[in-house]
Amino acid sequence: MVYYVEYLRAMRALRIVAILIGLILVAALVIRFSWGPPKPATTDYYSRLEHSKTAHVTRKRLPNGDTRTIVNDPRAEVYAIIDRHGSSVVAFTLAHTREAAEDQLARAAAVKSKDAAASTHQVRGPAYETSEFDALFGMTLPMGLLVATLLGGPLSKENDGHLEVVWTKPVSRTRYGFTAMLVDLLTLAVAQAATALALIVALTFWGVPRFGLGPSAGLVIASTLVSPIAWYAFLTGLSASVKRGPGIVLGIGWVVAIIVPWIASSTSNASAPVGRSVHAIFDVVSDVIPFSYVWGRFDLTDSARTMTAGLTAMAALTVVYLALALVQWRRLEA
Amino acid sequence: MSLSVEHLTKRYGAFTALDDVCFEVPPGSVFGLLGPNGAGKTTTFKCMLGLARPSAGTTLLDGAPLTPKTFARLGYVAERSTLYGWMSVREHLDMQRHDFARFDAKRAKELTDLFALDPRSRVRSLSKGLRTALSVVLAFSVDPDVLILDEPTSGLDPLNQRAVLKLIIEAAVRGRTVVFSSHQIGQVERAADHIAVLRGGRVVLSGAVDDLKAGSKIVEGTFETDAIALNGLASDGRISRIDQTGRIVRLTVGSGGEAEAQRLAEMGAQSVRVVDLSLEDIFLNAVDPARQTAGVTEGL
Repeated sequence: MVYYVEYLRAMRALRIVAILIGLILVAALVIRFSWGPPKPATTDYYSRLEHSKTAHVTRKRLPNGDTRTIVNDPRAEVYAIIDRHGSSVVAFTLAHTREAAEDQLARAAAVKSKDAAASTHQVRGPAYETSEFDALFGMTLPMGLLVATLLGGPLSKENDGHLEVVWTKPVSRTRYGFTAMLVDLLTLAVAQAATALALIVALTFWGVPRFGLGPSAGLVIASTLVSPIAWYAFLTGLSASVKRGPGIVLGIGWVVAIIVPWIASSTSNASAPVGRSVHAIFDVVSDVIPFSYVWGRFDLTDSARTMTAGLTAMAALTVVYLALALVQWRRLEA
Repeated sequence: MSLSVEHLTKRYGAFTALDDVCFEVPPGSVFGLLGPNGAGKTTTFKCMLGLARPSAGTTLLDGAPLTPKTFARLGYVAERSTLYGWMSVREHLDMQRHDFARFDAKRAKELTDLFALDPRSRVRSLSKGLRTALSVVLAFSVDPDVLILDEPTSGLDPLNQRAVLKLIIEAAVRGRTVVFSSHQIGQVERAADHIAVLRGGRVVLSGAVDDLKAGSKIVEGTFETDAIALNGLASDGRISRIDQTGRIVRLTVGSGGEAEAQRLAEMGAQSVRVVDLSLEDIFLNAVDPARQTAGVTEGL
């Protein structure tokens, strides 16, 4: 277990993650109890339907435990079927007539209302209010980037006065460097998984969450995992030869990673020759900065092809930076 | 295990830090590497261990070059603290336990007790001496066959310095090979059976301590005044060095010394004695070329 020191560093980083997760949960609890129990956005709309003076309302319990409320209001040309699970509306079918509503049900299609204006959307699949798990997992990206920064540059941390300890272990430099980086990458994954779990727990404060997957779930989850890894690799590759003050390099890394893509982006429409030249230079530099793909080039709402390209670029940069880090480290002298 | 350093050379651009350094360390012996500041002792250790790439030359352990696996049987104390300030003493011991199959927990406990190291203490809170002590504990706790110790008593109080010397001697008695450097010649004299003296990156003297000491004698004469006429001594080919400090004149001679003692007595010395050369004398002769010429050196 030659990676013991890196393991301790990882544990320190995870302690910070645990503190942040605790703060997230406390904040969620405060919000939950400050704002009272959750109310579906469409409660008033359903309530108005049910309490219309001309409506005939019947209720029954479904085999799965949900409660079905049928609102028949011929004068208003409303026939609504509202399924509730506890206090939450999980499915809503709205039509002008009973036949039309039941036809929709028969086609196993649920209609849910997004707001009180009763704009209706046909949805396929289970007739539940679902959260997209990939979107939730995407929210772990900031935590991933934070942990990547905390753990970034593990080799330069050894360069800063510890090489005599590390290089007199009975293990090759390559193996040591590789295992140290592997520990960090596993820690990143653990930190993001723990954060996702904490977010799920936070959601339970508002009721039992039901999850679905978005149209590009795989790509979103993969990019959320790869982005911090690419950032970690960037910092590690940048600092592997640095012997003193690795923290400064990590700090500069952040600044460069934010400013360079920003300048490249802000000069993209420049008409003056100087502006075009600046853009050309910074655009090329942006290509090798993972943040470019996290913030700009890699737009999560863009097409799957763009996402795949960005993901591939980040994965390639990761491999290149980690390999460069090891090559530099092997050539270093204590 | 025997250790041989063969033609180690290290250049930094135009500067030659080590120039064809060679020495042999027999198995089970204690080898002292001496030299003034900047002589190249630490660079020698670093090149030996592969921490710095030698421009030429190699180090052999039992006739084989060092590999990563070799370090399982090697303990090293660096010149300056290379420990992790944010880790505790116990975590450092755990690190050794994880990294070295031959880690001896019982021995580690004995050694931490010996130096009164609190396992809970963070290294950053330890004094320089205690950091050195912890480095020594880490090196000795893995039961190494070869110990390379770069100033292992640096910053330690006299009591702990003595403890480290005892550990070195005990290790040699148990058949371990020890190479160490120190600015305290007395310590080297107590512990080492072989030495090499570095000056300007070159080995200017090496050999068994007893042989080096037996090769020369000091003839020391005490006079009534410090106005001593030493004319004639400088031209004596048997005298390699003349030192005068106040009323005391010291002559370094090849062997014997009786004839030179007789000459000092004839010159009016109140008392004359012939003593063995100390390691300090050997060291000073080796590192100060001016002192090696046969002439009068005053005011030392």
